[in-house]
Amino acid sequence: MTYFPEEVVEHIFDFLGSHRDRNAVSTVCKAWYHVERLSRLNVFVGNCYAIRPERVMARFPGMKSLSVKGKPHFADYNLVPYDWGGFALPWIKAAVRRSPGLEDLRLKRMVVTDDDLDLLARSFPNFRSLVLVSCEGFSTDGLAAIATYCRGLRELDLQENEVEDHGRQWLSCFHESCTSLVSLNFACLKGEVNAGVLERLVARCPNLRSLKLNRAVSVESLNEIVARAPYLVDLGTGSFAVLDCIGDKGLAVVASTCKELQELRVFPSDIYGAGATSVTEEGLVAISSGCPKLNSLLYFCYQMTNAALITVAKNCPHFTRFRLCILDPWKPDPVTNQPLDEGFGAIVRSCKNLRRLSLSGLLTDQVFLYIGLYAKCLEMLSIAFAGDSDKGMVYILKGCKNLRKLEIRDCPFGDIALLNDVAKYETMRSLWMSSCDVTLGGCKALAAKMPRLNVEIINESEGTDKLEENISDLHKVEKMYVYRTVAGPRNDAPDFVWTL
Amino acid sequence: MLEEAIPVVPYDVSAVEDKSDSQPETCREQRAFVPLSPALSEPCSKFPFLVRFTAAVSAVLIPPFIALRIRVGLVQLVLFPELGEFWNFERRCCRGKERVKSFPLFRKRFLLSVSLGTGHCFIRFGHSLSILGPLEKIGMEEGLRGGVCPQLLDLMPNKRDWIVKDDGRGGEMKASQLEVESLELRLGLPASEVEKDPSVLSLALFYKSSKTTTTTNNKNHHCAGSKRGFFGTFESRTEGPQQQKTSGANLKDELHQSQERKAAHEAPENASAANMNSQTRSNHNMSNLSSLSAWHINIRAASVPLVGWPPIRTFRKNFATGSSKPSPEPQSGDLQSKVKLENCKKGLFVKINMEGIPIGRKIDLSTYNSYEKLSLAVEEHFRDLLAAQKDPSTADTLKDGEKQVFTGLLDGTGEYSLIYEDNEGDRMLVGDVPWDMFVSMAKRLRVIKSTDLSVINVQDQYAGKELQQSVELY
Repeated sequence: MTYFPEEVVEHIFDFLGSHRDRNAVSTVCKAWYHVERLSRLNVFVGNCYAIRPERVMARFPGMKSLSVKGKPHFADYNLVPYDWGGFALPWIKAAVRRSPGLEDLRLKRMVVTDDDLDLLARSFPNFRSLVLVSCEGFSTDGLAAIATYCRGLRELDLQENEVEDHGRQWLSCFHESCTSLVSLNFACLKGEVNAGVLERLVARCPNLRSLKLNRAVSVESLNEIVARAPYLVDLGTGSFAVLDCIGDKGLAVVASTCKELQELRVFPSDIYGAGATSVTEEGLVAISSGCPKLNSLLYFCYQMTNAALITVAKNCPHFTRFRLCILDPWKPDPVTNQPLDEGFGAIVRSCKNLRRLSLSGLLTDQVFLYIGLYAKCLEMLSIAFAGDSDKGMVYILKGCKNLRKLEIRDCPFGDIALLNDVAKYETMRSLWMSSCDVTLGGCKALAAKMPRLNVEIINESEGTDKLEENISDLHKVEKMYVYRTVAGPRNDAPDFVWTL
Repeated sequence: MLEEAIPVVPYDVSAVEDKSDSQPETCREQRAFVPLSPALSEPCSKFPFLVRFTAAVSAVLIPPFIALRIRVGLVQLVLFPELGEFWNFERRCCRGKERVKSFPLFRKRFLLSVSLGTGHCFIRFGHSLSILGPLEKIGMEEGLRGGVCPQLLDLMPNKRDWIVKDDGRGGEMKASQLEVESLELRLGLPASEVEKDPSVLSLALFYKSSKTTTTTNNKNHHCAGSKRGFFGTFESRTEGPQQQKTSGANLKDELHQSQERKAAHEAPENASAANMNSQTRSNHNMSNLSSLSAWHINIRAASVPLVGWPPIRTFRKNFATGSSKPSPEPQSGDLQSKVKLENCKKGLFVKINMEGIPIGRKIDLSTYNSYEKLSLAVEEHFRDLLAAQKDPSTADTLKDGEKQVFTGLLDGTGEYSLIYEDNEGDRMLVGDVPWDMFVSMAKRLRVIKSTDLSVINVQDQYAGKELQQSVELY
């Protein structure tokens, strides 16, 4: 290979934005590894327990921006106990020591306390952007600390967090001299904010482009704000989620008017029973025929037919995210009484770039055969109440080469499937299985074979605190979370989490 | 063989004991234990699978019989004392009240157990009733003999035997057998319509003659369903599906437990293997037993939903069902809040009457968000009226009495109980379903004396009938 001086290589690497590309080039040779690691500015850690924070900071001394994810996705649906883990503190502390030049921090599904926010606020003089997504453990006091000490803060983005309201007027803590805000999102907060303070803040931040308020802000206030921030590009008053009470007719209207629609999310308004105004497969078909650019869908409905899915697959071959949730588990096609294997099979066959898929309805092993066969780009798969036998899971693990996250609940997959190809799990970020047929013995076998996987069993039933207490290997585990790691078993696991 | 294949019961049996065990019962309690047959002599609790559910019990008149109808959500079971048999009825036949007259009695929490050893199953109403049949009599023909017997209780004080006699009358049916073909118990998930939706699960519960059901309504169940599926529930399928699904049963107590308690949801394969490729199932010892071991009735219509299902973030759920805590009502042009307001209950006023008080009231259910608050409100409404009716001179001493009058409104322990009428006219005890469901179902409320709940004198209702029994059920 022609010799390139490091500066040149570094310059070339500057063009590599994505961390995956950078990861790839860093494995080419030692020289490139060094060049890359010294020049990487944005560090992404998909699983906070895959690697220790100190090691990350040591490898990337020039880190300016850090993004870390904590709990497994199913934590969103209360399947992961509150104190399972995912603490932000070790990361913040490590950054304080090793990367005081940190500017951006993005945390997802992690536990962040007010003290953590306080430490963060005081330790990084160049701090510009804090994004917290689906985090919990902090209150408005922590936000007050951020507002007070982060001079020069540009972005404060709180998405779907659980924030306790301690009544503190945290917004007033932004200093009068703080004029640097570009983006502010506090839509997930439940408490009120002082309208005058908000208006003044907006008025003195000429660079403000994105503002997402919570529902406590009044219309009059909104008026004032808009008047004072003429350069706002993005204004929100809470998430605009489409509820399914707009019905199929409503969706048809959307289909006929929103030709550029790329992402759609339809949530159920009544999860206990089908209302007359809920959506069905017709709505989805209408959307698919009217919005050919649709690439991301989250759709809750009460029923779905194979025919509809086949039509959708034909109309919209560009799906990258397709998440369908039929609210009743195991519900077949109501017209034909068939499982929905063919419908989902059509989706994966047609959508070659599908990266994320969530299944529901009545499904047999056949659908997994299709997925393994066709969904080559699939990275994340969520399965619930589906499949007949271990074969289903084996099809997935064998076929989906790019699979990174697999989450399964309430499926009849057991040890045979789990242990079929243990090396596969090192190519994935994580595997979640709950209420399946996996036994303790199976998990132990997996842990024994693969030392670089953490096999965590979450066992919440009372009276069984220790692994050593006579639990037979035949005992089915309630919840299992397996992830690759170079950090070994974690030391902050609570009692009910056993790392095998 | 049976032993090793039995899956570990996820719940400690003792933990699920009916709470009423610990309550001192009055002398009205029936506790006679009478085994069904001499061969079944030892109490059996070996690997019982227990499910707690709440059912509405009513007396139905199906000429020429009088029967007890026990209804759980969309499942119902009709008990013919004279025949000593159990039937299941298509729901519409009873609901339409064309053919049957129904007299709601009460609503009670039951414990349903299946004993693997003998293949018996029984229902306990506290301690006072077990309905039982050996499973082969009620459709179970898998090789589940064990030789031990669960406890059976004699229902009638005068020993009138209305439990199925274990005399091997397996297939014998009475005249009403003609109705068998149209009789089929269907289980529907909350979202589905019972009659039309082919995905309705069919539950051949307590069905004696398994053979006849095979011919009926194929689309809704499997023939094998009744044979094997004592508690098996089956998805409607026509061509060889690989599996019979069991829907999630919730082994939780109906009252909400903490979210850490997972739903006892097992979804093992059903013993459809018996009909289908049992070879594929041979590896799965668990599944061979699944027809019993994992009996699953979908009782979500009457109970708490599965944990973590549907997969929606909590804050969206609260928003969507309009039951969120009162948030500062935005006056902004928020699309979301507009939709919410449309969804919101526009004040749910229901009439409430109290026994002994001629004047009823109206209360707005949407202003309460829990049963406790409702109970307090009821107390407020009627306290004064009650006082006014009693001797005013002793008003002071009565105050305490009144307070006591209204305690235990919801759990049946007080002097009065709160019941409601749902949209079908059935009367149910308040407090058994999640609050939101209750609000959507309740059309009318009544405060009645608790004693009225439990004593039913059938004779009064059916003049001219020979039935002398006074059925006392707790």
